[in-house]
This record gives sequence, C-alpha cells and structure tokens, in this order.
Amino acid sequence: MNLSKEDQNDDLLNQLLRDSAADAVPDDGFVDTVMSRLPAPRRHSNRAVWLGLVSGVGLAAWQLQDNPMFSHVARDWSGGQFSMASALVLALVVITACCTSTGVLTK
Amino acid sequence: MVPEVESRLDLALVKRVLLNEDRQAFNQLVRRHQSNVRAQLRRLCRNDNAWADDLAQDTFLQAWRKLSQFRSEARFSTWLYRIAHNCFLQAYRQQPIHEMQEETLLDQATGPRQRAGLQRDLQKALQALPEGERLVMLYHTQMGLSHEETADITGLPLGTVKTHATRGSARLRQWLKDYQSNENTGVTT
Repeated sequence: MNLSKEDQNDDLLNQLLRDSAADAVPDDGFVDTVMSRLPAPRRHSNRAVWLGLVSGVGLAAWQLQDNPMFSHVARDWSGGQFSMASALVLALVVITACCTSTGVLTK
Repeated sequence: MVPEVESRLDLALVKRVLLNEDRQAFNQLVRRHQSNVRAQLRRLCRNDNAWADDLAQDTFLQAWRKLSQFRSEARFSTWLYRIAHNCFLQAYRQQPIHEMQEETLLDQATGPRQRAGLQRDLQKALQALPEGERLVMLYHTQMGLSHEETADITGLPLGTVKTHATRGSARLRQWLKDYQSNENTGVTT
C-alpha cells in the first residue's frame, strides 16, 4: 500500500520528534549531587522517645512514692535485696512509664 | 520495561522512602528518572543545560520533601514532570532575560536556515511555536504522554491541550512542507 506524501510527512515528523526526545542524558554525577543535597536524616523522633520515657519514669515514681509497697521496695534495694515485690514494682514503674510516655508523645 | 511494571516499581520505591526515609530507595528513584526530567527541563530551558540541571536538582529535592503528597492515581513520572514544570515556570518568571532568548530563537527560525540538518531545524521550529503549543508538543508528541497527563502537568484544560496538539502538529506539518519545497527548488539557505 502506497502512503500519500502527507502521510509520509506525518510519519517523518513524528519520528523526528520522538527521536529528539529519545536522547538519554548521562548521569555525570547528577544523582550523587542530588543525594548530597538532601536534608540530614531526622533524629528528633528518637530524642522524643527517650524524653518521653524519662518523663514517664519520673512521673511514675512520683505517683508511686506514697505507696507503702514502693517504700518497702526502696528499703529492699537500699539493703541490696531484690524480692518478688521489687520485681513487681519495677514492672509497674516500667508499664506506667511506657503508658505515660506514649501519652506524652501522642499529645 | 512495560510502563505498568515501571509504575509498580516506582510505587514500591516510594513506599520504602515514606516508611523509613530510605535514601537508597530514593537514590534509585532519582537514577531511574533523572534522564527524562533533565531532558524535559533542557527543552523547556531551550538547551541551557546548566540552568536545566539546577532546576532538575531542585525538582528532586522538592520531590523528596513532598513525597508524602504523592497520590498513586497518577504515575510517579507524571508527578515528577509536574514538579519540574512548576520549578521551570517559577524560575522563568524570575529571569526575564530568557524572554529575550525566546525572541532571538524565533528570529532564527523564521529567518534563513542553516543547512545543518532537518533535526536541528525542526528543533528551532519547535522553539518558535507559541508557548502553549510548544509545551503540548513537548509533553504529548515528543515525550509520548497522554492528553490527560499533559493537562495534569501543564495545568491547561484538557480541551485546550487537544487544540494545542492539533494546531502545533498542523504548524509543524506546514513547516516541513515548506522546508521540503525549499530543498527541492534549491533555495539557498
């Protein structure tokens, strides 16, 4: 089938246009330059977790200081003993600290 | 690679970046798209390669910052082209000197042609098209994007994009016809 002159021209034009777009641009260090310009990785999330945990432990200790079990455990620890009650209080403090810090972080 | 597979790969890389700021994944995204984005900007900047590459860097830095805004309804490449297009427009408005270059190129294209090949002359003819037509020819005809994607990138209404595509093609067809008749009649260029 013979193509008309206009059809041939259309094909030629489309080919020329696509060819001109097909030239790949070599990297030549471009990617490295972009990567070096990216902002530094965020670290504040780690700081926030630690801040939350420390605040949580402090708050938990403050809330439990009047509890007789807490003073009993404090006496145990100062005497170098580690009873079942101590483990229980320690677990309680950690759980309270985690809950408090989660609350601090989500606010 | 099939465009659909390319898109899925882009999407997977984007997810990795968003999940834990995976720089290696972003590095791969830049590597995969740098050539097309830089080629796009070089054409928009009328082959001012240094300026185009500066804009390309800004494009990828903006992409890093705005990655969470990427919606997977559009292809990642289309989203990048839109950022690049906006970077160009912003820079172009701040640098009136480039308007002068446009006039110069228009003069060159309508003036006597150098016998340096059809391709080079076609580039000049493309640069001489009215702005809207030039952009649509770049995205739709040269880069092979759909009318919808071209409208998305340029911010032009879909109907306008189609009109520009038709008119731009008609102008270039006429240009080629004139070029060939000049060649055949042996007009000295």
